[in-house]
Amino acid sequence: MKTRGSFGSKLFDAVNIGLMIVLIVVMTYPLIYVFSASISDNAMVMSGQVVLWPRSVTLVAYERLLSNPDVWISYWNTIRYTAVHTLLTLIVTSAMAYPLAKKWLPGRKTILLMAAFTLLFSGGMIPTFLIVQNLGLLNTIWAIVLPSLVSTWHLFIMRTFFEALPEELEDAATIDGCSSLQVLIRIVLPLSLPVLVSIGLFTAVNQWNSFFDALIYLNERSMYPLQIMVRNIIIASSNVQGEGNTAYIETLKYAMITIATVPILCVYPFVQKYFVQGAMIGGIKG
Amino acid sequence: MRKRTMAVTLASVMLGGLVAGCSGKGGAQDAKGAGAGSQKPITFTWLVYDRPEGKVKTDWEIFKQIEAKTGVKIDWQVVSQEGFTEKRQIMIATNSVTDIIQPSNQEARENGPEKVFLNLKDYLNKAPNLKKFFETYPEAKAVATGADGGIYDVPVLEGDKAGKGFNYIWMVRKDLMDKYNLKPPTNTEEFYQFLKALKQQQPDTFPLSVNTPATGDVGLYTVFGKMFTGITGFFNQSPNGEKWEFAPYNSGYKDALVYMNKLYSEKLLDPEFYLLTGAQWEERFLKGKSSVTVLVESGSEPADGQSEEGRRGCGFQPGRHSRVRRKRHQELPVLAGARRQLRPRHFGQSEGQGQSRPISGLPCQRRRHQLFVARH
Repeated sequence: MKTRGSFGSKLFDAVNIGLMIVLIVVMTYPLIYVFSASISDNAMVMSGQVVLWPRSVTLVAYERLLSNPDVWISYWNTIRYTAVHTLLTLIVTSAMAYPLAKKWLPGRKTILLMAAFTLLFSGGMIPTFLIVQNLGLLNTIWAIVLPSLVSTWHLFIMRTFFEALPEELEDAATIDGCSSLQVLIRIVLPLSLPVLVSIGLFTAVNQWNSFFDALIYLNERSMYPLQIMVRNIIIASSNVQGEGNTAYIETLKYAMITIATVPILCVYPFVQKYFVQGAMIGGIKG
Repeated sequence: MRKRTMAVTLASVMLGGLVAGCSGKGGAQDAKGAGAGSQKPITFTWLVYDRPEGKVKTDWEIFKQIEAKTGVKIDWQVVSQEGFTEKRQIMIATNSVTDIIQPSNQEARENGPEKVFLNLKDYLNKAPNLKKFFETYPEAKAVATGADGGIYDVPVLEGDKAGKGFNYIWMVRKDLMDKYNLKPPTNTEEFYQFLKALKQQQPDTFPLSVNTPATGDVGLYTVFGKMFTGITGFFNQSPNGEKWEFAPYNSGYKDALVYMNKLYSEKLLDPEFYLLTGAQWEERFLKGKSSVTVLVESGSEPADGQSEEGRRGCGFQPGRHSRVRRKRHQELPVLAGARRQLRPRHFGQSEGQGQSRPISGLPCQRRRHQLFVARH
């Protein structure tokens, strides 16, 4: 259908496009800048001559980082933590959300109330630390994964999604001989892909970017995730006290950011379609 | 039973004595655990941090020496620098501290009585060096003593005779000095002329800019106050006597204020000096908006490295003049020795008004930005 827009609608389009372009620039500029700075010469970056495109291209910062075994260890740790955390989160959250979506579940209100309680109140850092410590989880992957396994927010989104699925499907599956668990795994979860993917993505990005749990629960360098390293390089090196060679330190920051960001950035486009769907669905029905 | 931690704030000088203290404690434990005469190596945990320019490596010679000389193995728990304080606070709050840790004196005093740290008082007889240290420097004992009278850490005494040392240095763009043929100033009047000359050459700049709080160890008031009164900070020993003096009561302090006002009103001092963030301050210099600054001294070599004073590192200057100060940065003990006090350079005493006083600095080349200290 072809419509000749009025002046008003043309103006709207123009403003709209202009605004979007501004937004795109605002969003992409930092990404490009960080990348440009990471492959530019340190002196150029320090003196502010790198504005958009790299100057005096050199890969020395990357060489330095990639030849550092700590980066690879941290990388592996981050991947490990993220994968395990995301997987377990999805399993546990869906296992809790599914029964809670059933109206006939005894004590449903109470359980929901208790879950909602944790949205507003938490034990605080020190008590949580003490629990983790007494469970003997310190300095293990479980200290990172377990305390933040179920996010109440995600639980509610998922429960809302499950509630919206037609009950008849499950009835049909039951008549065909499915147990409750089979209904969940064979019928409900495949139909809930959007919500699973978006919650998985939320969790993964969160875990990828988190440093604080690692900081307080882990004691060994060989256990540290990438973000600890990123933080160290970016925050602490702005205050280098002068010993050692600091001639590459500015580009090093940007190279580190690039290295730490690219993988998670790559995931986004592939889950985009689920992401939009999933994020919306929880909202409308909630 | 939870092992309690020995809280130490180390100076390199103390290392030998301290670790001896530790092994005394460990020995006792060992005897209880595995029976006397057991040679099983004792392992202590020790919280340290990585610096961004170089990480802690377990094969450092000093670690080997500690092990060789004490027979104690250290399990280094390494956190990154910016997370160090947080980690330490959580460890203290949850009573899960490493066996050896470097808390602030306040943390040690407050948490020692809660049984987070070991009461060193009970062990002083086994550690003669430590005992002597506390006897010689009652101020060290004072800052380490908790509410219950126990001693909970080994403080670092920084400072030197009458607090006349400097933990800051003046820096100036050497290229500009060469370009405009400026001589390093040696007194306040020359310093004023120096800034003025810079301002004349580059009217749109503020030659002097600082990135420190106005007060505090290296604050502008401290620096200029000291220039004119000789007193470090607001309350300290006067430069020429035994007396403790409140700096603003000193006649020179007004001169300092007048002088600062002069710099400020002639825009020689950055009008925003009070508000600058670290990044803004850095930008001032990178963009050439400013060219002179005063910085915390931390890594420079002592001018008289070979003298008695130099070798003593950051510790223990003779008795009554010593100043006890909390360390600004928690340092690796190994690196603690590098934080030497600068050699005292005396400011002229506050004599007649209008008389110029020498300003101080120390030759020291610093990292980037082509900033160099004005040499005398």
